[in-house]
Amino acid sequence: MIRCKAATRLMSRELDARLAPKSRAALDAHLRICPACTRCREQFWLLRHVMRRLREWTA
Amino acid sequence: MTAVLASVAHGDADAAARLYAHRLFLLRIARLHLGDGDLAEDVVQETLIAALAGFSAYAGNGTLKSWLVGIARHKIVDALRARARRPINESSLQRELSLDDMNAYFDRSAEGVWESQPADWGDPVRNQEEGDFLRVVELCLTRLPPNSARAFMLRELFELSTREVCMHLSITSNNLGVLLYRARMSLRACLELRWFGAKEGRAHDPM
Repeated sequence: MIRCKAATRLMSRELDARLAPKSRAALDAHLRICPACTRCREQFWLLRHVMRRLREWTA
Repeated sequence: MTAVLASVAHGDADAAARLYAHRLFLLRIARLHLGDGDLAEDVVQETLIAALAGFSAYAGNGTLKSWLVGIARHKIVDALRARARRPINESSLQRELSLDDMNAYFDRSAEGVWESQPADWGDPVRNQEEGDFLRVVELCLTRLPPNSARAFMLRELFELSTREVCMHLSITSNNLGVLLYRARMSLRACLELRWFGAKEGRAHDPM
């Protein structure tokens, strides 16, 4: 089982690349039992959305 | 602003005044993207000169502001490219690549479990305070270490592929992964403290 710290690394990486099947499975297993990391993952994706909004906002 | 002033002397005062009115706004965008006051000033000056030269081409489609931002965006990308070709500062890169300080987010005794659990943010960009929220995002962006900020901006604001960002910064994809991780972790922590924390009344200082 991976811990939160390792999970956050994978959650950042999945925004930039396709995870290897083993990493994908490890992350999914962790997220099923960890609400804190699930929130962090939502926040990482929100950051991407926010950067788009920021670009539109400045335009 | 000598070119703008010169054009005033040549009777193009109206155009110059209308363009100049947006100078501070453009400067804010340029600073956000470039994080460098002098370079941002240069970019804004180039933008206004280009806009003045091409003012007759502005057909009045859309606002003058968005037309200017379109020009500024090209100038900013040019500036980012020019700067990316400059060798990255190796010692600051090494500092940012070491993730030891990221351990502070995790409880060491429990081997990598959150020290302070991330909060439920809801959807901060779907409410009326969006402008305020985005200003805090800007502030948090300016607090990122330089290489992480450049990597994150190129990746998320300009939507370059990871391969392109690596090329621009002359770094490996592993190193890029670390810089982006640092940027995302730092941004989420900064926003949690300065926006969500402040909203819950735990911190009233907006800076």
